[in-house]
Amino acid sequence: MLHKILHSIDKKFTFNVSKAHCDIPCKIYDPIEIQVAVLTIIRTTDLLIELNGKETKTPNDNAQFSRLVAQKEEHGIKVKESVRVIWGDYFKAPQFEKFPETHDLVHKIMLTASKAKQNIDKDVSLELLSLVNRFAEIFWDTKGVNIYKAKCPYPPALEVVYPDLKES
Amino acid sequence: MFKLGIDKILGDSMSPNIKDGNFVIFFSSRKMKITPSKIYRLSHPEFGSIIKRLSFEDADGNFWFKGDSPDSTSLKKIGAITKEQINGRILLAIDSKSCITFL
Repeated sequence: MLHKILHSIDKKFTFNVSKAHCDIPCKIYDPIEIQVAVLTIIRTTDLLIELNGKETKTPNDNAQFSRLVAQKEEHGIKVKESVRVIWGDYFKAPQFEKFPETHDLVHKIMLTASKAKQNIDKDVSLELLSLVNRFAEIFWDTKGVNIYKAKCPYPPALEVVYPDLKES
Repeated sequence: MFKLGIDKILGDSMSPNIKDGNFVIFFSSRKMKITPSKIYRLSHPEFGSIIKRLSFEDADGNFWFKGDSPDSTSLKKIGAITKEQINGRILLAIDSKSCITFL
C-alpha cells in the first residue's frame, strides 16, 4: 500500500533517483531461452528417432542425422550455460531462502541435460522440460510475475511456463 | 538546516537490504553524525547520486564506502569521499510489498 502510494506520487512528481551501482549491471535474465533450447532438444530427439526408424538410409539421411545430433548437443550446452548464469548471477540469498529447492533443482537440470546430450531418449528430454519449467516458475515468482502454462505454438507442441506480463 | 527526503533506488548494489525499485527516506543536517556501518547518500563525481554503506574513515578524514551486494562497485572504484559529498543518511527503506526496514 505504502509503496503503491509512493509509486503513484513518483509517477506524478518524480522523486530523485539514487543509484545503487553494481559492476555488472546488465540484469537481463529470462528463462525462455532455456525453455526454447529444451524444446529444440525434444524436437531433434523426435527427428532422430524418426530417422533411425528408416530401414535404408541415404547419404543425405546420414548427414541429417549428424546435423541433428550436433544441434541436440549444442542446445544441451545452451541449457546448462543459461541455467548456470541465472542461478549464479541472478539468484541471491533472498531468492534461495524463498525457494530452498533451487540448488537441488539446478543440479538435477545439469545431470538431466547431460543425459539428454548423451542419449537419444525422449523420456529424458521430457523430464528436462519439466525441470526447466519448474525453474522458470521459480524465477518468475521471485520477480513477482504471474505465470500461465500453454502449449508452445510449434513442434513439439508441449506445455511451457510463460510469464503473464500483462498483469505486471 | 534539517532536511528530510525520499529517493527512489535504482540498482541492486545494496541488496538484500535495499533493492532496485525500493523507496528510501533520508535526512540530512549540519550536525549529522557520520558513523561506520550506516548507509549514506552521496554525490559522486562519476556516478551521480548514490547510496552506499560507510566502511571506514581514513587518517586524512576521507570516507570510504561500499555496497552490500558482492556485485557492488568496489570501495576502490568509488574512491575517497569528502564530508561535503555526503548529503544524507538513509533512515529506512520501503520495499515493493510496503515492508519497512529501519537501517
